[in-house]
Amino acid sequence: MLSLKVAGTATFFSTIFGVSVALLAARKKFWGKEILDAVMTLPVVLPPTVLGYYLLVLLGRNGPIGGWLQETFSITLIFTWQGAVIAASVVAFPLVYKSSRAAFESVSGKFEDAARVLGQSEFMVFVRVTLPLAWRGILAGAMLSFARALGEFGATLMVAGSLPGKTQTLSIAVYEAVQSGDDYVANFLVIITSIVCVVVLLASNYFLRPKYVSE
Amino acid sequence: MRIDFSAKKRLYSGGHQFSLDIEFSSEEDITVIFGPSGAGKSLVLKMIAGLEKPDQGSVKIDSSVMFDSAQRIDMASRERNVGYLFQDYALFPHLTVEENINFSSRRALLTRPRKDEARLRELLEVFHLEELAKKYPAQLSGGQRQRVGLARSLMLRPSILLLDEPFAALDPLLRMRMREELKKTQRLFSIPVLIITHDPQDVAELAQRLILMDDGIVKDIVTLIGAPYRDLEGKPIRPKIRELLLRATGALDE
Repeated sequence: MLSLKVAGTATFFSTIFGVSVALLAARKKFWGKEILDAVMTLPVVLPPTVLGYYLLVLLGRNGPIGGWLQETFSITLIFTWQGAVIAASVVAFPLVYKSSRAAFESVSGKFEDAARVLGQSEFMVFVRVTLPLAWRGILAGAMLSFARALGEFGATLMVAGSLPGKTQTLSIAVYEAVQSGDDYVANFLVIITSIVCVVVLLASNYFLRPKYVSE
Repeated sequence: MRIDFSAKKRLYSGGHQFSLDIEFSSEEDITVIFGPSGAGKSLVLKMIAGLEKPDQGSVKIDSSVMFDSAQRIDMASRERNVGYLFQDYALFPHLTVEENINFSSRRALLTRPRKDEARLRELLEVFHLEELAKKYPAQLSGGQRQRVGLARSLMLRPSILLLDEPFAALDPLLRMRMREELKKTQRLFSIPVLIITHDPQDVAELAQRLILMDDGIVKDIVTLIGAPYRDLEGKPIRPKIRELLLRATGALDE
């Protein structure tokens, strides 16, 4: 249940940020766009431990963000489930970002132009044309990022540790179970994780299939 | 109705430079801009619709100034109220025929759409779309899609109808029929029409005022008053058009 809570919250945040940044990258031209794209995709290729270390440095009591949170709100993120959410969000973010960007870029500008000529403001063009034509790609990305967040191990372990019932997520519990030779628990957790991931992948493939035959 | 258009614009893409410098006006019902692809015709249409911005110039339809670089007037596309038929019609694939035609009646999320039921019924009837109202664009034939596109662009009673290569995507037989339908539509709604095309047949059958364009500039402007097939003396216009078109495309040099 903790895993679901962490993965669900992480998916929520990474989707909101992923879609916003993707929209920016797909629609606007600005200097350093490709650098931004590379930085946003970094979590896919960086070893989770390196990522976890970055987060630890940033969010730790002596880090710039962690220190500020500690002083102003006396909030500590390290070794809490919220910390695990942040770790999972960062790791899952590129999946939503990449597929949303592709989805936005696949919406032809002529549909948006057509809507403008038909009296629609930029906001209405987005709500009535861009979003409906891109939402399947966004949803597919969100589901992949959910699966990724659910399986997140390295960065979460570094940031949130493995406190049973508090920050011990499914994938970490599997590791602990195997380490302590608890095969029964390990098998059970592995099967659950596998089933959830297969279901999510099937669903996301379904949404990635184009619905409208192009003219 | 009178349209006055003048625009200058420089474009760069991949080290390639294109400059557009054109000026024309027309008071005829059907104006045709003819030129080879790459002449800048689409750019002109987009500038009238407010989808592209000239570096310099002005766009006027009757007394309404939609763009004027000297007076710093630049109306947004949504305020210009022009009808625009895109080359492949750009029907919204996620909406039905009826929803496509009705698209312009909703302007904000929270206010109720100002539905003009009578206008919708009229357009569905005129364009023989009643049976297809609940279908999606992917389920329609080329000619049906074009009729939906026309109906959609006429919903708001625009002051001018802009057509971008309207028949290029259709097969030749259908092209002939759709040209006739367009003439009928023009008369029925008494709306001025501006067509851009690279098909000489469109010129021969539709043009009342012909603007020849090439490489970003106007080569020639001809008025073919009255029936589009006759010139001022009542002589068939085709040989003259043929000569003009050949000269415009460089096949006939003086």
